[in-house]
Amino acid sequence: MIEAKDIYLSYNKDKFVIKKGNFTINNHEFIFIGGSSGSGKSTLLKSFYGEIPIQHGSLNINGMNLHKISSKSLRALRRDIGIVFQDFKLINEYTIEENIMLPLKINGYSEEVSREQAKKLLSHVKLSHRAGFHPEELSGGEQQRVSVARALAHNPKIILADEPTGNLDDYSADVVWNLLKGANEQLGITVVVVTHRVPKSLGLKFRQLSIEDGIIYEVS
Amino acid sequence: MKYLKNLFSFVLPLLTVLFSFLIYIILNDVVANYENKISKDYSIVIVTHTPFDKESIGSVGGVDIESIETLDKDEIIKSFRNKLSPNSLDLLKKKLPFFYKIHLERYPTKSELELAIKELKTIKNIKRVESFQKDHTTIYSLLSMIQNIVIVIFFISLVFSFLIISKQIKIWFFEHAKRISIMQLHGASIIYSAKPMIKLALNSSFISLIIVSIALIIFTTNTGALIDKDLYEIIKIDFNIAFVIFKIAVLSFSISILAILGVLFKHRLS
Repeated sequence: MIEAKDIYLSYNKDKFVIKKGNFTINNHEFIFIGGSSGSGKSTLLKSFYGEIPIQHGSLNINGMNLHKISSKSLRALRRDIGIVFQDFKLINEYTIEENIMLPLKINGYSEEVSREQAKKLLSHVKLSHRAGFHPEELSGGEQQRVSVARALAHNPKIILADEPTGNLDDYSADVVWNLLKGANEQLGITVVVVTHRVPKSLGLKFRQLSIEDGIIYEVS
Repeated sequence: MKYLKNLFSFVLPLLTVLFSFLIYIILNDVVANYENKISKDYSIVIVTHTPFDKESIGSVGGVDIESIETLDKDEIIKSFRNKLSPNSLDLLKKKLPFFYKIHLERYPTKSELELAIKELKTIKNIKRVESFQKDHTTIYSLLSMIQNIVIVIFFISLVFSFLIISKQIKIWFFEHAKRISIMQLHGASIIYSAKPMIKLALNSSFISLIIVSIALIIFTTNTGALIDKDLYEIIKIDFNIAFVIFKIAVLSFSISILAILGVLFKHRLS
């Protein structure tokens, strides 16, 4: 569960990107966060995994208040979250199988278990034939599928996705939406997606938050 | 290939400091052995009016006394036996003062020796003080000077090696900044993120230790062949190889671990 009360976010002390944000995201929900470019959508998402500090208010994720969180607790929180980035953030020195194994190994799983799980997920995202490839050898759509597989690998409670289809063609975007939809419907994972373009035919019950002039409100 | 290049950049400064440390240890042993050898060729002789209380002095000139040996008067007058009558010899023996030979615990420096003679001369009973030494002072001074130079070289190489290794670790962090940030976004600790670098540094310490240990074993088992025979007789190296290797291991791993901790701490602060 994500619960924000009067949160203020800013990159510098003088200018707040988010002013007084109040919202609740329940477990197993599928949430879209929309808004125009520069409205602070990505900033809000980054605050969920502690990359942007909370200036005021409280932001509770899985019972942890990010306003006053120790680095140890923040690491624990991050190990419980799966993140999908717009620019994929895959490690080029690793094969795509090793990239998927990364969160599992960070969570303390053995090499064997991690590899087994990575193989399953590669099969799920239909990239088994590319297991030994490095990210730069894959198309953007394929890289994003790997990124989603990595976010799912350790069976997180929450998946945060920042413009996951922003750089993808329609086919690849559909594949990514279906993976996120499957994670929410079949695995019960809470999915929070920042996007400026909500897919028209997702076939899924979802809520939508929007940001305008730093104020977060719910779109009915 | 890149791994080997990185490994080499860690091993090279480590080898410099470990070899200078090894030279320091060898030289230390050589000087200690030499001191021991020349201290046997050296003594102070005192002449007293009355029998000397050997327990009355424990040290002279800041150097502890190992023993005080009473010189036999018969031995002293032996050379006159053919020249003097038995009665004259008896008279001479009665008139002779008492002679003692002082053995010091270690070889004294020039200033310590001067001070020792000065101190002995202040004792009322002592009539005369003589010191006899073979011509070891020049060699001893030379060895001491080399030993001091090696200590300085060792410390300089230690500081530079530490700085070079720290710099290499910083470069590694810079090169892998993207990977580290991705790992940290997934909840990895800084130590987990820097695991390959930590492995590299520890492997370098291990490789350097092996190289220096092999060099040490070759040197100690072939000292006779490597060093001139006359010199070998004088310096005679006889230290505990296992203990020396242990010291080198401690130094090698300490440099890497301290450099890693320093950089990680700085990285964490930033």
